[in-house]
Amino acid sequence: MADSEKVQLLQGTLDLLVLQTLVFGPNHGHGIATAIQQTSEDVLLVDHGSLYPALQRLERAGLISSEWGTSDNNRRARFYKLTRTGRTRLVSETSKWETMVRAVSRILKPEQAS
Amino acid sequence: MKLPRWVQWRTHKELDEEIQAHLDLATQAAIARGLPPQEAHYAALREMGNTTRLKERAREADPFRWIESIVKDLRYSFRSLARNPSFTIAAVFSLALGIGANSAIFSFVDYLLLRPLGVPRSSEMVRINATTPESPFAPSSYREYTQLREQNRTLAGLAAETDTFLAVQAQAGDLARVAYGDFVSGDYFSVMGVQASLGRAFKAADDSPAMQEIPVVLSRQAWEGKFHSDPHIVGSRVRINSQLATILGVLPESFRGTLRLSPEIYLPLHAVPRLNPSFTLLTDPLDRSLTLIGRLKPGVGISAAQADFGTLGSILERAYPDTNRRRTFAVLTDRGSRFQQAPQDEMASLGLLFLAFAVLRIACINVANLLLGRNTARAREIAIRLSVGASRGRLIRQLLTESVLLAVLGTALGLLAGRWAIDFLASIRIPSDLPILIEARMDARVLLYSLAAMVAAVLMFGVLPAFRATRVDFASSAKETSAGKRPRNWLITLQAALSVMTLALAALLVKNFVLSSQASPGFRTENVLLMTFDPSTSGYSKAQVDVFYRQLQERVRALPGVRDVALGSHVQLGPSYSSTAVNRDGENLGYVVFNKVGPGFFDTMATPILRGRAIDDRDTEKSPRVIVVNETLGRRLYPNGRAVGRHVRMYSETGPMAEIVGVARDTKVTDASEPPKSYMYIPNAQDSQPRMTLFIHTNADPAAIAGPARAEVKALDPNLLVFDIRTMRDVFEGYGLLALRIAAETTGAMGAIALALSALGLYAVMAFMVSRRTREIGIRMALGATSGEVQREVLRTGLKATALGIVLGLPSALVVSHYYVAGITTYVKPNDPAIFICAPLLLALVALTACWAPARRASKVDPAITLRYE
Repeated sequence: MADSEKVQLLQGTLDLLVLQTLVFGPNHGHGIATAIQQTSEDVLLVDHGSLYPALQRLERAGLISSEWGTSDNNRRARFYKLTRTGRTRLVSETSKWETMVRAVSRILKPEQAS
Repeated sequence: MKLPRWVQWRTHKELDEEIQAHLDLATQAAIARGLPPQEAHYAALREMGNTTRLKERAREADPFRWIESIVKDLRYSFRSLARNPSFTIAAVFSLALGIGANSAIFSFVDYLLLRPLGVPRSSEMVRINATTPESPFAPSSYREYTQLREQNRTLAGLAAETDTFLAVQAQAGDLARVAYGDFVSGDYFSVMGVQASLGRAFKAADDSPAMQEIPVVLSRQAWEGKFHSDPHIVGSRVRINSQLATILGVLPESFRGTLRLSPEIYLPLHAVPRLNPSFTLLTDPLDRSLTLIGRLKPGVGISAAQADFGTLGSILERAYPDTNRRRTFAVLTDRGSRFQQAPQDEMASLGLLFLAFAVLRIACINVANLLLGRNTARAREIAIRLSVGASRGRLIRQLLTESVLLAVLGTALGLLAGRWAIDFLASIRIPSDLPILIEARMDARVLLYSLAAMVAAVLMFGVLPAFRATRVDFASSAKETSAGKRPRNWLITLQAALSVMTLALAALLVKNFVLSSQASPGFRTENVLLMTFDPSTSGYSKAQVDVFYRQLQERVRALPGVRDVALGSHVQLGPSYSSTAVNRDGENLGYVVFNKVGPGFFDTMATPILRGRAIDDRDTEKSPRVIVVNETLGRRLYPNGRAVGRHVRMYSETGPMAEIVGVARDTKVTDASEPPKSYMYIPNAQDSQPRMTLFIHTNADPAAIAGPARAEVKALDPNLLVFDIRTMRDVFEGYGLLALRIAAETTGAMGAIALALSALGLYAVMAFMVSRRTREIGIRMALGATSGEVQREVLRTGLKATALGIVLGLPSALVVSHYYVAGITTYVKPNDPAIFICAPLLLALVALTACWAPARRASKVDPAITLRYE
């Protein structure tokens, strides 16, 4: 796949994607990054450097929690999981996101929207 | 386990570990995709990006980062202060003096005026004073008290008290000792909300005419001092004025009573007739000696209470027209009443706080100057830090941390110095059997005030240098500059102005004290022994009292070494005085301080009679009433004629008439430097009281007569208590001059501190200036300037700023002295020329000395060496 097809994440969407990834169960930082990349069929490029500050931000906001655990290949790693507030927030943020995507699409391609 | 969110922050180690785990996992994933291990590792690193930056960003999100950075700033500040010990010592020492002066002065003012009563919710306490045409602060009668207590609707409780001297014996036959007592109403302690720390305090039922043994409650201080902290004291018996009394309890340490002095023993009001049978307090509606103190009902304001008592005053006026005409009642908060009753204390307090603040300001200017100098020396360091990306805010915080650290060190040392000064004030003992103590102490209030002073200090000295130092002009940043010279000259000027003002005011008060202590107060202070008695405490009737004093005078006069004796009710310039209303032709002239004296008083005390006659044996209980007035009162009563032969009405509008038979030379009355004050002498025989002082004029050392005189008292009545034996000189020095001495010592100390700080500050600034300008001086000398010229120029810079400060400071000193000092000194004019010439000269001399060494160093600059420097 050519690099030109890869897309940098929009500001703020990383949080939403992290939350969404964690819906399927606790995961560590590398797992989260890989999951986002794979699920988006390698279209979305996660800047690993910005992942950890985002994780800390989410944890401080009480949307995710974390503890040390062991990865599939027996490496000690910190696992993040969605909290109850995180789950509620994900639902509301997702619907907000969808509303926005629809609105933006309507503006960009007006003939299809009607 | 779920931790609170604020503890859920990563330690750095954990974050490092987490990132390492990520890299390992990524590497393994890449290997799984078929990359060789080394390349897999690089791929993982690339994917991760800049890990240092990542860690930095993660840490910035850390809520406790500021603590960490403050710890870092503090550590940095400590190191930087330790590297410059002379700077640190000068700054901390300056601040310690400034803060210490403020702590000590505040503790004194707090004792004098501000400290609240030691009762719960002290802001609810109010004082009820009777207001009459003669006085705005008159005490009340027992009848007024009971009526006010029952009829008011705004107070939760109203208590009454009156102080007294007591003769206390452990058992009958023991030697009696004097105690300062307080007769209080039965509800006094419940109104105060004070409970005994041992036993119990009074209940309402304890204050009843039917009491068997007199119940008493001890103050904590009396229990410790006079009863050896006996833990089994409750229930034990003592004799008070020869009557049996039972000790009910001991009060807590924090409760010091509600009078100006702290009572040692509390007794119920209804014990008065038992202990002093001649006292008519409870029965006579004209016997007004009760002080009233109440507690507002919750939610009731002072104005509502004022309205309530105003109405009650009118009701009493209508109900008792013969005793309560033109008498109403005023409600004041406890603190408000202190301010109003002692305006001189308020003045003195304000003056002292003002001076202490000026000293702190001077200290702060020193530190600001030192900091500015140091920051100039660090200009390059600061410029480099700014240019490699430190934010200005971050640097300001760093510099302020250093200032705060200096202030904390200065305050700590200052509190030690303040503590020492406070202990000194508290150690002053007043020659009296009244428990007069200067209860200045280092308590939470003083600490709080000192902390506020510290914060003010940081604002005054730290902020300006921090902002100035970080405002760097990048273009010339790396060059050596002598920036900041101008504002620092301005600071020296301000400092000199404050110093000359402090110095002049201090000198005025010191001179006033010295002159007052040398001047004659208008009566004999040498070779006089004073002995005070109160035979009523031994149950003497009025007739017995008269006989006792007559016999005592005869016996003591016959002692060898005694020239003359006389009786007086009060000692001039002593700790207590009485005053009463004087009325001329129906016109009320206010309260006049008086002394009830016996025959021979004026000769014994060497106070000349200027016109008319003295009080002598002619004036008896049956002869017409007479008084002797002093010059000031004589002039006030009859400005355009001779007072002798005229009549005035005594005590009240309906009181007896008395003829003025003599005019005596003015003497000091209550304060050794007061302006002439009205005073009058009433014949003791015509208005006798049991508590009297025997004035004994001796040939030589008066203290030597104390033993023989005591023996004579013992011969008359072995059980009779001698209350107080002092020499007149002790009273004059220990009490008459006390306020002046404290004023002179405190302001004198502050003047000295101001001078020392100014010298230190000026020296530091000039020395710094010379060291910064070494190169310039070297060049000028290379171009032909002589060392004398260089030296003169440095001196000129320092002295010019000082002189300007003196020019600005002197007028302010004159204004302050006009309003503040004029009211309290009579021996010194508020614009005393000697002081207003000498204070600036002294400051100029000190400034010259301070500039001398730096100037000499400048003149020793060797151009050959300096030009090669760098």
